[in-house]
Amino acid sequence: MDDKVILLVEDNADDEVLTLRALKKNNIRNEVVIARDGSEALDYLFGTGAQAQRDLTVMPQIILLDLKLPKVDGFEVLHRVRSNEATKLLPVVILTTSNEDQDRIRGYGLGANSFVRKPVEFDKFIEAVRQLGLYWLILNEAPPVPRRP
Amino acid sequence: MTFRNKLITGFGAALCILLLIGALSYQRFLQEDSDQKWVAHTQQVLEQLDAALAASTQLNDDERPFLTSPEGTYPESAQRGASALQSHIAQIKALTADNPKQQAAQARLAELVNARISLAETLGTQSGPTVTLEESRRQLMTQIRSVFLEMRSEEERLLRERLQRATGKARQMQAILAFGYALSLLLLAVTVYSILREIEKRQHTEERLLRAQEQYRLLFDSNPIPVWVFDTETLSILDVNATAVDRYGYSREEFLQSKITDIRPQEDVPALLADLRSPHDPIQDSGPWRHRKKTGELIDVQITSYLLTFRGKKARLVVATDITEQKRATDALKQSEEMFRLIVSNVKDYAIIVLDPEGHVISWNRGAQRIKGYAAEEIVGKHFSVFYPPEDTALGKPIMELKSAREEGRFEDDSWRIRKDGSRFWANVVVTPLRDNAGLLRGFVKITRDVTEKRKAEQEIIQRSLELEAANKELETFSYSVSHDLRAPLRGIDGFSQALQEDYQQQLDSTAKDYLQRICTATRRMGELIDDLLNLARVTRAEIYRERIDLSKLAGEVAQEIQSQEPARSVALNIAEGLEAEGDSRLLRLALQNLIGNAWKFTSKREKAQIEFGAQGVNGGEAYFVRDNGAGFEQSYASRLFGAFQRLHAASEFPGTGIGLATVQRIIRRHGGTVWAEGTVNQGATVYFTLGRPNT
Repeated sequence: MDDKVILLVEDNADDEVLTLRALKKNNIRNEVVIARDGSEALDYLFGTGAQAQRDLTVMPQIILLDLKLPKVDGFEVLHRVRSNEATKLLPVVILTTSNEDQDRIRGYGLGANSFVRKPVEFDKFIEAVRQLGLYWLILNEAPPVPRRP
Repeated sequence: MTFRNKLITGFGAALCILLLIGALSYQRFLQEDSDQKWVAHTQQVLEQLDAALAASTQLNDDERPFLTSPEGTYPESAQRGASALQSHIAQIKALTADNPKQQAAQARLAELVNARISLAETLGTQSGPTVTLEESRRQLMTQIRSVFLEMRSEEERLLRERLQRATGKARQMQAILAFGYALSLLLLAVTVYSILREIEKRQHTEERLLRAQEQYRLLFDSNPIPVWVFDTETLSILDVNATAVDRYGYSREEFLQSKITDIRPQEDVPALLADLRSPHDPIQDSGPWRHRKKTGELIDVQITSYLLTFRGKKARLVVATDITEQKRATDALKQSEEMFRLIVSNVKDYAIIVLDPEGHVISWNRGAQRIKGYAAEEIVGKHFSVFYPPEDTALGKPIMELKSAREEGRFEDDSWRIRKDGSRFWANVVVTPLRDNAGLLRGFVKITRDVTEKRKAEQEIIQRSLELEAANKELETFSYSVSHDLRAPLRGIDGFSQALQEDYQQQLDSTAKDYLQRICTATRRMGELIDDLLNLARVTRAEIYRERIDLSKLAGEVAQEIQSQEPARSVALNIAEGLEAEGDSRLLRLALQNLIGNAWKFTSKREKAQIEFGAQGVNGGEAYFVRDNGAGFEQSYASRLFGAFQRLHAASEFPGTGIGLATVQRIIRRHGGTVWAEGTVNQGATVYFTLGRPNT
């Protein structure tokens, strides 16, 4: 379970800390790669920009994706992930503050695997993260990582 | 020549000819009788002559012995012969008394005979013959014979002549008879032929007359139009046809005992008499007149009458066409036209203008005067382009509109028009071409409305809805960002407060811990408020999808959800079965969540909590209600219950944001319904709601 990377795409530093704390409190010790905006996330996923040297055989087991992001927003990231051969099968969980209908419709429309609203109450948030970890990192079998040509 | 004259002439001529023939025949008969007598007479003369000649020859023969042997006496037979000869001669004389030539011959004969007889006597007295005597005797004999022959040939000639004459006359008579008979026969034949012709002609005429009479009767009686004949002197009805009997209700006998004035309403009689006195054409149309049926019903008729002689009387044949319906239709049409004209001219809200095919104003109603400011006399005859702004006229718009109306059958336009005072108004104009039955363009009807105010209102509405749309958009954006951005910091506050409590438990005293707890509580409350506000905003702008909803089932589900969140609580739920309504299921679910949630909340302090969902008739409609036996409220505050953030209980007592009932009210109102509450402190509350427009 340790070798499975979590990609957390989150621009809010508080939420980042809280998410990490929630993961820790749930004893989820996987490597967490943090992208603070959409373009960082894309760099990581496609080995571009600052991540040009990255080993692309390693792909996140799960992407926790916020929607409201600077530069490139969550929907765009999702769209790019789903459009690329190498990443199109990656599990993406939208983890966001709102539960607006329009966001859910658009998110699922672009191929999100789950849509989770971050509760205001921290203990509920911890519980949500616990369930997410349990499901996506342990229970769920991720698709095989495709070989690079 | 008349038939009678022909007949007289024909028969008369034939008769004359026959009479003539008769007369001629009679005359001829008489003549023939005398001719016959003359022929017989001649034959008698010839016989006597022959007898006399024979007697003279006999005398010679008788004398011969005496002469040869002159002894003896003169033979007696010769003596008798001589006297017989003399008597013959005497008879001849008598017979030829009518003929002087024969008389002369007879005289000569008589002389010769006498000479002969005297010779004989001489002989007698002489004894023996002498040569001289002999010679004389021979001479005399010859002479006598020649006179005899002479007379005989004369008589024979006479006989021939007479016979010839008789034959010629008979032939002539035959010819005359034949010709006369033929002529009279011909005349008779011609006359008879003409008689036959005449008979035939008369028969034809008679037949034709009979047929004509039959036809007249047929035409008269079977004529589908009432017809009668009246005496122009006495005004009595002389004949009447079956149709008149049928239509007017009088029997034929009644008609024939009436005068034409009897089938008129009394008040029309003077006019009728005046009309009858006035000179009439032989064929005359008049009317409309009114006729009175036997029932008293009056009908309008058009009359055509013919002057004629009927059974020797001067009369008129009257054909009366019932035009009641026609007149009624014409009157109705007239009335409707008048009505139509009145309506058009009195319409004030529409300018109704009639234009000629070129666009000159022909008629102008009150509406036109009101809207455009011109009086009819100012504008009739002018071209309608004066109503257009100069820029439109310059572009040829008025003419184009007429062209368009002519080609499309209708033209409609909304644009500026000019009043008499030069001011502009926004007009709705409909131009329709007027065509006659032949399709020829007679002009146009132009109906104009002043829609300036309407346009202003419309523009305002458009402006308003644009503003509203913008406001909604803004609200949406606002809600969206509230949803995203307002909650995130709360999570931080709550999370880090909790982290403090957990990670710095040892360093914090109980007051600090209490404060941190309060921060967390406040944060959560803030989170709930935000969620409720977002719901309220969502309800406000959400579209309503009406469908048939099983409210009982929906209430049951909602109650179950709430129960599942607090499994420990025991609440007696009483949900009426089979309540159905038309509405938006999502919004109604939200409303019931709030209402049942409230009831749940306010009965939390009851040992035997009861929540009821049902319906009852209110003001002829059906009101649904959620009733509880919870904390209740003071009725005087009932109206404040539905305002946002309005709470009647301390949050410490019953938590809540005060937005729930506001949301319920918004949902119900959006359904066109109403919501109200009844309550008593500590005894419970009932919230009623209706859903407007059921089954629509």
